[in-house]
Amino acid sequence: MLILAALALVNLKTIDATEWLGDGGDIPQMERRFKQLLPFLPKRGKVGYIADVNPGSGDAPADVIREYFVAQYALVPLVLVLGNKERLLIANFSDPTVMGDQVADLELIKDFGTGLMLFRNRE
Amino acid sequence: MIHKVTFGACSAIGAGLGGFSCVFFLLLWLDIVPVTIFPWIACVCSLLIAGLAGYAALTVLRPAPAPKQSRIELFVFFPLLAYALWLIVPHILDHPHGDWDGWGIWNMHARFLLAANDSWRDLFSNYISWSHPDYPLMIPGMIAGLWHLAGSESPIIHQTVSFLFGIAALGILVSSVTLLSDSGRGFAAGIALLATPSFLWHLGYQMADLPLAFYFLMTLALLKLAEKFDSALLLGLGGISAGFAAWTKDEGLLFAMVVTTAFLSTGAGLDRKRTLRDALSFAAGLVPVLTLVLAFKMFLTPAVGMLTGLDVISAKVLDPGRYTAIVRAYVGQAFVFGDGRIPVIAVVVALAVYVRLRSRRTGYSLQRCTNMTLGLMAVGYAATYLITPYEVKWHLASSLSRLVLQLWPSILFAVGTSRLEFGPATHSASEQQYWWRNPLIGVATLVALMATFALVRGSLIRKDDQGGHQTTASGNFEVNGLLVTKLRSGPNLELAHASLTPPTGKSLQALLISDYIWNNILTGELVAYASSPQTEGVLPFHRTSEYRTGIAVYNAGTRPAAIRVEMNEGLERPLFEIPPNGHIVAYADEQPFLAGSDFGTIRLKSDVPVVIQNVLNYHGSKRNYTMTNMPVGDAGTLSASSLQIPYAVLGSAAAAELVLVNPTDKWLQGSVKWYGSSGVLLQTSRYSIKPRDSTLQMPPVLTDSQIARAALIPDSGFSPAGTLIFRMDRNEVLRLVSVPATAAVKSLKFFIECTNTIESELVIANAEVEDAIVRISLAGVQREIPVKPGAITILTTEQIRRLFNLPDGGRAALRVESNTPVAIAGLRYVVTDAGRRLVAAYSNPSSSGSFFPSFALGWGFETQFVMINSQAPVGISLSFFDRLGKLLPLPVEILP
Repeated sequence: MLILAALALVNLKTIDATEWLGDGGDIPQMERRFKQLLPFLPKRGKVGYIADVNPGSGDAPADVIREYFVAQYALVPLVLVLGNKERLLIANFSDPTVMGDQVADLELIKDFGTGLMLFRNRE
Repeated sequence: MIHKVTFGACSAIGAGLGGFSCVFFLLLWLDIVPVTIFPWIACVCSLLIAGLAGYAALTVLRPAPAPKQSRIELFVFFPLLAYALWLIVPHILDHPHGDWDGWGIWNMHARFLLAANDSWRDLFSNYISWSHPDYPLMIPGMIAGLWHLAGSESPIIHQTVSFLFGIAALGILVSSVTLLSDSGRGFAAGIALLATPSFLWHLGYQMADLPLAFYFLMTLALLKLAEKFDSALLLGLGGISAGFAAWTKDEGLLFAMVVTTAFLSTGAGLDRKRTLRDALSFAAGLVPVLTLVLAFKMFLTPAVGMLTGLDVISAKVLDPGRYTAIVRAYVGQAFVFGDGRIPVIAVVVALAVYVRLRSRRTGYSLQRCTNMTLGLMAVGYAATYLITPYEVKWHLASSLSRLVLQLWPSILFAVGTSRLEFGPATHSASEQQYWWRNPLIGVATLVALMATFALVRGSLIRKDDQGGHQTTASGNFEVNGLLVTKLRSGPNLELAHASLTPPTGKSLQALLISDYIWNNILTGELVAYASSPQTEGVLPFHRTSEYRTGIAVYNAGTRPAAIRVEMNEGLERPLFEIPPNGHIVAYADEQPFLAGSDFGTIRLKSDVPVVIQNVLNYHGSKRNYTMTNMPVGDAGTLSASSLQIPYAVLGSAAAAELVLVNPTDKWLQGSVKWYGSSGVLLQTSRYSIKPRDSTLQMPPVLTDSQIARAALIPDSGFSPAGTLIFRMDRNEVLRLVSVPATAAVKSLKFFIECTNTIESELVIANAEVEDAIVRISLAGVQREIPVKPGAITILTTEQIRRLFNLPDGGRAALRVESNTPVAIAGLRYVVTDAGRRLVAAYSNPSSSGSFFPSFALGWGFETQFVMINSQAPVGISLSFFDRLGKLLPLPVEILP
C-alpha cells in the first residue's frame, strides 16, 4: 500500500510541475471578440467566413483554423460557411492588407477593429 | 455502510445525468412538449432513475462477509485525494471551456441543442462536419438541459459535469471493490487511479472519455455486484449504464455489444432459469437507451465515418506491418499512458501484488465477464485500428491513450477484484472442462450483433442511394455498366485525391469531371481519366500573367516518396518528400518546383511510384477561370505506333497549339499530319524532341474555321505524348479545351452526357485507308455509322438523342465497335440562356489507372466521378484523402 502511495505521490508531482496540457485557456477572450458580431447577425442560418488563409485549405496555419473553430463555437446556432458566397460575411484577418480580392466585391458593414469585420455581399 | 452510500450516490449521479440527457434529447427531437417544460420533465425522470440507483444500492447491497477495515489505507487515500484536487482544481478553474474536443465538439453541440426553434438540427450541417455531428449526444444533452434549467450558459455547469464524472468514477471504483472484497483493496485501487495524472487532467478537459470510462466501470461493477448479491435490479441498472455508454461515444456502442456478449456467454452453463432472468433484466435496462442511440445514428446523423470497401479492408487485415504497429503501440502505452513519471505498468503491478498478498481464496468464476469485456474491447479497438482509413501510426498516436483512459478505471477494478470466488455462481467441473465454450459463444454473439447493426445501417444507406442522395464517405458501389457519382460541394476549398479499389483495367474505366462554376455558370471544366503511378514524369509548363500550370503529385506507395525536380537551366532544387498516400498541389512557379521561365519542361524523379497530373489554368478574372489538361510524359506508357488527335478546331475560331513530350532518354523524331474533316491533308510538319523535354507544334494557319484531326507519326521508336490545346475567345470569355493524343481502337465503351445543362457530341476519326463501319449500341439499340477513310464523323447531341434511348438522367456509356481502328473524342458543351459553348473534350483512353492525384471541391468547384464497366458487375470502393493521406468524409451523391 505504501509503495502504491509513493508511486501516486511521484506521479501527482508531475501535475505540480506541468502547465495545462490541453487547449482552451484563451477561449473566453476570443469568444468575447467574436460575440461583438452578434447584434449584427441573424439569429440562425448561414454566414460566410473569410480569413488570411482559407481555414478549409490544406495550407492554413493552425491558429487560423483554431480562430475559425472558436468563431463557430461563439456564434452557435449560426453556421459559418467558409468562402465569400453568403450574403453576410465575417472577415477575420490578422493582416487586413492581405484581404485584397476576397473583399473586392463586398460592402463593409462594420469594422470591429483587430482585423474583425462584417461585410455584405453586393450580389 | 459508507461504501454502500458512496456507491449509491455515485451511481445515482451517473444514472441521473444519463437519464436526464436521454429524456431531454428525446423530447427535443420529438417536439411534442413545449420547450419551457421539457427540461423539467427530463429533470423529474432523471431524479427517478437516480433514486432507483440509490435505492438499489441501499437495499440490495450488503457489507461483504467479514470486511476488513483498513485505517492505513484510509489515512493514505484521503490525503492523496486532497493533494490531487489541490493540484488540479486551479487548472480546471483557469480553463472554463476545457480542452479542444471539450469546446470544439461537446460544448458546441450543447449550444446547438440549446438553440431556439429547430435550429438545433443545424448541428448536423455538412459545413461543420469537422465537429463530428455523428457523435452521440449524452454530454451535449445533459449540458444543454442543465443550461435550460439554470437559465444561463454558465461554464460552471460543464466544468462541474466533467469534474463530477471523474470523482464519481473514483467513488464507484473504491466502493465497488470494497463491497466485493474489502476496503483495503478498494482504497488501493483508488490510489492507483490517483496515480494516473492523465485521469486527473481529464477532470477539466470536458471531453467524453471520462464519462465513458465512468459508464464502463459502473456497468462492470453493477454486473459483478448483481452476481454477488443475486439482484435483478442491479442487472437492470447495469443494462441502463451500458446503454448510457453507447449514448456517450461511439466506443460505448462497441462496449454495449461487448459487455452483452460477455455477460450472456459467461452466464451460459449456469442454471437456465436464472440465466434467462438475468438476461431479461439486463436487456430491460439496455434496450430503451440503445434504441434511442440507434435511432439517432440512423435517422439524424450524416453518414460519415470510417467505412471503406471490403477489398481495402482485406488488404489491411493481411498487412503484417499494421499488426506490428498496433502491438507496439499497445505495449508502448504500458509505459507512456498516464503522463506520469512512473509508468502505469508499475502501478498495476503494485496493485496486483497488494491484491495477491491480501487474497485468501482463489478462483476465477466471477472474473470472467469483466475480463472478457476488457479483452474484447482491446481486440475491438485493435480491429478498428487495423482497418482504419487513416495512417495507422498517426491514428494510434493521436487516440490510443484516450481509449486506454476509457478502460483504465475498469482495468483497475478488474485487478482490484481479482482472485475472488463466492456464492452460488461457482461453475461445475464439467463446465470448467468446456472452458472454451463460453468465449466462443461470446465472440459469435458479438459478430452477430455487429453484423445486425451493419446490415440495418447498410440498408438505410442503400435506401438513400435509391433516392439518388447520400451514400458514404468512401463510396462502396457496384458498377454495372455506368455509375456516375457527384461529390457534394462543401464550403471549404478542398484539394483532395481519390483512389479506386480494385484497380481499374480494360473492363473498368474511371473518369473525373471537375467543373468550375461562377454565378451559377459553368466557366471551366476538366475531364481526365484515372492515372497510373510512375517513377519519372516529364511535364511541360506555362507561366505567364494569366496562364499558370498546376502540378499535382500523389504518392501511391506505402513509404515516403523523395522527389527530385530538374529543369533545363540545370539549377538543382532540394528533394521534396510526400508522405504515403499523401499529395502535393502547387503551381509550377511555386515551391517545390520553382520554375523560373515562362515556358519549359519540368522533370520529376521519384524513388517510389507516384501519380502525376498537369493542368493548365487560366485566370482572366474571377469570372473567367478555366482549366484544361496538359500532358505528362511517362516513358513506361509510350506507344510505338502512330497516335491520333481525333478533333481540333483550326482557323479564326480558335488559337491552337500541340504540346509534345518526350519522356525517353533518346531523341524522338517524326511528323505531325493535319487533316480536314473530310480527310484532306492540310499540312505536314516535322518534330524533333530532345530527351526528357517538350516542344510546341503549331497547326496550319487557316483563314476560315475548320474542324480537323491530326496524326503523330514517329520515324522510328515511340510516339511522343501529346495534347492539342485550343483557346476560344467569345464575348471576352476565354475557354481552354484540350484533346489528348490517343491510339485508335476497335472496341470500347464511351461516356456521354445529354442533360439540360450539358450536351455531348461524339467524334469518330478514321485514320485508316478503308471505310470504318462503326456500330454504336446502347440498351439494345444498335446503329451503324460509316466513317470514310481519313475522315471525321460527328454525332450531334440531337442525333444521339434521336438514335438512342438515353436513360432518364441523360448519361450513358455507349458501346463502340468498329471493323477498323478508330479514335474517339467526346465534346462537352455547356448550355446556358445565351446558347451553348464547348467547355471540354476527351479522347478514348490509351491506358487505364486507378488514381486521381488531385481535384478541387468548394469555392465554385464541383467534381463528378464516372465509372464505366464493360463486363460483369464489379464492386468498387472510391475513397478520398487530403494531402496528408487522411480520409476525407466527402458525401457522395449517385446521379441517375
